[in-house]
Amino acid sequence: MAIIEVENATKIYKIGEVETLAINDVTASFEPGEFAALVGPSGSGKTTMLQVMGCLDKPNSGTVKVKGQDVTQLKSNQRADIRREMIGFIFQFFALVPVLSAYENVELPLLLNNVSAKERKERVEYLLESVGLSDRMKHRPDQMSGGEQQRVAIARALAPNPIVVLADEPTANLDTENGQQAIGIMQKLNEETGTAFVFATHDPRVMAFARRVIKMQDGRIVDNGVVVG
Amino acid sequence: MLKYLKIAWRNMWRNWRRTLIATIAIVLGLILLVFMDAMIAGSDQAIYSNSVRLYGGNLQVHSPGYRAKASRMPVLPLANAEIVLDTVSAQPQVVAASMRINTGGMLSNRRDAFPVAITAIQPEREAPVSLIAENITEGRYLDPADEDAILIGRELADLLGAHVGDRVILLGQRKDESMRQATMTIAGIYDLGLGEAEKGTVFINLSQAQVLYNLRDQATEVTAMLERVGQEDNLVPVLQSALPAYEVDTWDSLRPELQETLAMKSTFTSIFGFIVVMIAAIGIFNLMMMAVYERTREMGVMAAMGMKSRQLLGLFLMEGAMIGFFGAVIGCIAAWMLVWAVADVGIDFSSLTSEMDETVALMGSRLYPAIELSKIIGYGVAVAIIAALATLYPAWQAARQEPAQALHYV
Repeated sequence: MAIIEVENATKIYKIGEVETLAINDVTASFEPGEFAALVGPSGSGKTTMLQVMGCLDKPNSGTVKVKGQDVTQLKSNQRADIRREMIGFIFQFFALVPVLSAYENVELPLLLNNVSAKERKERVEYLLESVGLSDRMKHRPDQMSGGEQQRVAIARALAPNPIVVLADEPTANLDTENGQQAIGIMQKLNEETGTAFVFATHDPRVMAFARRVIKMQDGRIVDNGVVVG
Repeated sequence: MLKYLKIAWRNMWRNWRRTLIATIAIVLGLILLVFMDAMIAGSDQAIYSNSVRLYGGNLQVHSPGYRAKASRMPVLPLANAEIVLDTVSAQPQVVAASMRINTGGMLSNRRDAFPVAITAIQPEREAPVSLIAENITEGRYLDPADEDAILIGRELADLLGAHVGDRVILLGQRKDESMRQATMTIAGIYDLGLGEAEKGTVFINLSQAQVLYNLRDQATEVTAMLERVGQEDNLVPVLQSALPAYEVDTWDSLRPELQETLAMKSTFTSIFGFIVVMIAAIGIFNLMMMAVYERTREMGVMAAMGMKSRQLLGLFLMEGAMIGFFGAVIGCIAAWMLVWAVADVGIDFSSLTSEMDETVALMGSRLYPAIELSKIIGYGVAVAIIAALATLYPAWQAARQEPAQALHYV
């Protein structure tokens, strides 16, 4: 069964008097364990697509189903529950909580999920080790490089054991080496944990890692991509 | 919960300068509030105790019917002044008690004549506690052996152009409302800085008044000085039941105008206090508003992780409450220290009081702030709660955004 199904979703943003059609009648479906890239030029609707998929926003029309459940009908608190339990996010701007250490940032989603202290410790240590930051646990975001911060963000996204991690331009603010490293870690964790990854990008080096590439243009999907490998 | 507190605590120190400014606003507000309250309480206490001493004791016992006509000073002798005096003196709270005769009359010399209230006292009983005895600036206080001696106020002496040793004519009303005239010698002049009181009240010996006004062995009033202002409330019912045939009154029930002035001052304190607290609250409101705008995207991230609106709201409320609490604790300590330091030396008001009205002049020349610790803590708690409430709107602003919207915010 598909983990996320988007059907005929349209999202219009209204800024003042101007209406912008961010995504236009989009239909796409994502399977467990996928490693997919949403590609397209700026303004093609990639970010909106991820937000609609991740219950951060509701489409104006169409439906979004997460594990078969139509989330467009849910209240904001119920959508928060879905996000908390099933979806991890990685953002372009690292987006760590600045007052928390690397350890605490990864721990935060587990706290929200009421995971026991012992389990939290094991999970946080495992994840930070997986992203190669065992020695950086006590560091705050401003004491880490961009690459390190993004690796903490990857660990945080995976902390609650989500069914899918949605990453919006995860490498855009990283240099080539750190970008490669980050995407490599995501790929590794995808293979190890089976968590699906969907990332928006226009970085061709990142696209090269993807097993499925979905092309977007002007708010529409022009190529739904084929899963390879 | 602890983890949330930790986040809120760290958030509070993110922009430490701003937090510090808000904290200072709270601290200063609280110091101002507490100190002002203490000064007003101190002045009230001073006014109370001075007026108690000026107007003849914390409480007075009169004959039935006096209360209704108090302002006209009726000459109504007590049925048995000795028994009343003994009963009053027997109360443990009573420091001093004495008999008095109060009547109205006129004081004149060749130059002029003025209406006066004549208070006949037992100098041997009143001298140790009398405000008049303390403030004799010329001549001396009355002596039990004096026969035609009179004490007058500075203001009246100036108006009459009279000095110690001068002869004046005292006209006084008897019980039957006829008038009796006597020539008296000014034994002393008292100066309280209270023009009206000085002009309007003269003092003679009780024994003299008993002769002059046909009140042999009688008195119209028994007055009592208590250990503390405030003990009246408990003592009045006790005395009233012990002396059912008399009227027991406190000074303030006979002097309602003073009570009104004090009540007005207390209203003023409340309004001023409210303004001070509001200013501190606006400081926190502004601080939290800024914090919300600054951290919009961060809140979007937290919402993306599944944090609910009420949890975001709680996080901000905690932060505001912490700043409020922090400021309140420091403010309470600082205010208490300030009051404590000033209470020892007092503040000199002598340059002000001479020019002011009777109530203000009653404060005396030095003011000693007074406040109870529980009241300081009460103010602190109130300020902390208001600080948390001031965070409510910004916190709600923060919590109600759609996460996608918040994430777009740069």
